[in-house]
Amino acid sequence: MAALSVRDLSVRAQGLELVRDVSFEVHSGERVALIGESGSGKSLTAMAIVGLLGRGLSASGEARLGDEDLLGVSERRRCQLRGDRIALIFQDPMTALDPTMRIGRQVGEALRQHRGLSRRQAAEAAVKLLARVEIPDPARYAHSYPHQLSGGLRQRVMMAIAISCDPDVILADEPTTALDVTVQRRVLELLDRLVREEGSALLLITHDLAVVSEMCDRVVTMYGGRVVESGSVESMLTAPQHPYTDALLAASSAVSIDGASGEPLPAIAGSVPAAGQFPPGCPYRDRCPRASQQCTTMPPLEAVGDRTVACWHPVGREEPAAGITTEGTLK
Amino acid sequence: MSGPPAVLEVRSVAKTYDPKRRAGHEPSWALRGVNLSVNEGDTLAIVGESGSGKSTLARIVTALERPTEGSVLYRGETVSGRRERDLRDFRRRVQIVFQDPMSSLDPRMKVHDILAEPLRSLGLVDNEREQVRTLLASVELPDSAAARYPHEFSGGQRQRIAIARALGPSPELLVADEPVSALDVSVRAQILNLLSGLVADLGFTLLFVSHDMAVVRHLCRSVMVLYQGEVVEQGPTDAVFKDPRAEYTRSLLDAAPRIRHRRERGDASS
Repeated sequence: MAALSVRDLSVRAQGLELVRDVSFEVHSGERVALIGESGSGKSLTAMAIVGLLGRGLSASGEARLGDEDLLGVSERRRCQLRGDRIALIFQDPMTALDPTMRIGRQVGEALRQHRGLSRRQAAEAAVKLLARVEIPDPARYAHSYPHQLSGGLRQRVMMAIAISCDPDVILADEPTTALDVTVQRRVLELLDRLVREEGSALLLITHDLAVVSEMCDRVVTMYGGRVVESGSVESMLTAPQHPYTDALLAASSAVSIDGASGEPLPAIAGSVPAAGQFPPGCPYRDRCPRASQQCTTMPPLEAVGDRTVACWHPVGREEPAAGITTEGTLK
Repeated sequence: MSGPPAVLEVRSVAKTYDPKRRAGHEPSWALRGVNLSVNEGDTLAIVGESGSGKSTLARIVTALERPTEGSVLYRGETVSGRRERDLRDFRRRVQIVFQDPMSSLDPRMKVHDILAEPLRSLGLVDNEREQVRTLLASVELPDSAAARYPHEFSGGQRQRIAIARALGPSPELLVADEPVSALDVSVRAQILNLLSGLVADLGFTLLFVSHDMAVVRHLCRSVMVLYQGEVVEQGPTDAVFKDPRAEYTRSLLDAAPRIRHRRERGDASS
C-alpha cells in the first residue's frame, strides 16, 4: 500500500483553480520528485497535503496517509499526524525555525507533543537526534539559538525535527536550494541516509534535476497546477515525453560543469504566467514549440508503459493522427 | 609590461569589519591579500561560497565600500578612498546588478523611472522616452513594461529590468553579483543568454560573481576562486576546470550536482 496517496487534489482561491486534479502515490522507501518551475503548483500541492494552506485557499480531493485521508480528518487529528507520521522540511530553515527557542527544545518539541516525553527525556532525545544529523558537539548546539547556526547546520536541525517521530512520509520542499554547493552535497547525502534508515517515503520538491537524478526513484512534472507527466527517473531523464519536461531537462543539462562555453543555452520561451493567466486547454501551449490547434483542449493523462503523459504531441513519438492510440510506438 | 593598462586593478586589498582592529589584536578578515587585474573585454568570474568574500570584493571594486588595506584602480587611477563627488565619472563607467531584483528595485517606482533615474542623475538624458524604450528592447522587454511596477513582473523579468538599469549609462565594466542564483533553471538560461549576447554586442567588461561553477563555465573566460577571503586559484576557465590546482576548487567541482543516468546509491536498490 502507498504510504501517501494523493487523488484528484485541487486547490482553489477566489474562484481560481491553482492546483487541479493532482494524483500520485509515494510508497514506503520510495523517493518521488515533484518538479516544475516556480508557479507550477508544487509547493501548494505539498502545503495542501499537510493542511497548511494559507488563508483564502481551500483544498479538495484526497491525500491518504495510510488509511486516513488528511483532507477529510479534523484539524485536531491533522495536528496529531503532522510532525508525527508526516514530516516537513522547508527550504528556508531560518523562517521555519522559531528564533526565540533554543535548538534542543525545538528538536524535542514533537517528541513531547506526540510521544508524551518529559522535558528531560525530550532534551536527551534531542541531543541524540542532533548527533544523528551529524551536528558536531550536539550538546552545545542544543543550547544555541537558530541565528547562531550556519545555513547548513540549520537545515540539519530541520531534518532532526523531521525524523524525530520516525515519520512514514517526509515532504522536503527545496531543502537545499538556499545552500552552497559543498554544503548542499553533504545535506543531500544526509537526507539520503536518513530516508534509507527510516524507510520513510520521500516527496522531494525541487527544480534541480541534478538533485533529482541523484536522489529519486520517480519523477512527477507539474505545470500550471496540473501533473503533465510522471514516470521513473531513468525514463523521465533520458527520454522525457512531455515537451515541458523535455525543455526543463535541456535547460538543466546545458548548464553543467562539463558543458562547453559560448553556445546559446536552450531556454524555455516566456515565463510561467501568474495564477489564473494560464491559457485554456493545455497550460503549457503558449510556450510550447509543438503546440497545435488541438492543444486548446486539455489532453488527458495517458498511461504508456511506466509513464503517464498529458500531451497531444509528445516528444519522441511519431506524430499520431488524431484519435489513434499511440500505445507501443515509443521509439 | 606593455599593452594597454588594465580596466580594473585590485592591489593587495584587505577588508575587515572588525571594530577592534586598532586595539592591537588580529582581526578577522573578510578579504585578505587580493590582487586582480581585469583587461578590456574580459569576462571574469569570482567564485566562492557564502562567506568567501566575493560580494565584499564586488562592493569594493564598485566603490560601494572602502578597502581596509590596499587599493582599487580604474584605468590606472585610484578610486578607492576617493570622495563620492569625485566618483561621478566612475559611477557612470561602472555599474552593478545585484542578486535579488525584488530588493534592488524600488517597489514604488514605475519601470520608466527606475531606468531613467541613473540617466537623470548622471546628466545623460537626451530623449528620455526613447532611451527607456531602447533599454527595454535591449533586455527584450516590451515598451509597455515602462508604465508598470516591479511587483507586476516575474523574477526573471525583474532581473532584466535591473540589467537594463545598469546598461543605461553605457558602462564599460558591469559587475553582476549572483544575478541568476535566485532564478529557476529555465529562466536562468534566458538571463545567461541575454548577458552573453549583451557582452558580445556592447563589448563591456564583465565581472561575474557566483557560487555556481556550471554557470561560470558557461559564461566566463577566466575565473578566480576565493576561499575564506583569500584567492586560492586564478586562471582561464578551461584550464581551471580541466586541471584544478587548489584542493578547494576541486571540492567545488566535485560537489556540483550533475544529472547522472546511472545512479549508485551505496546499497542494492531496485
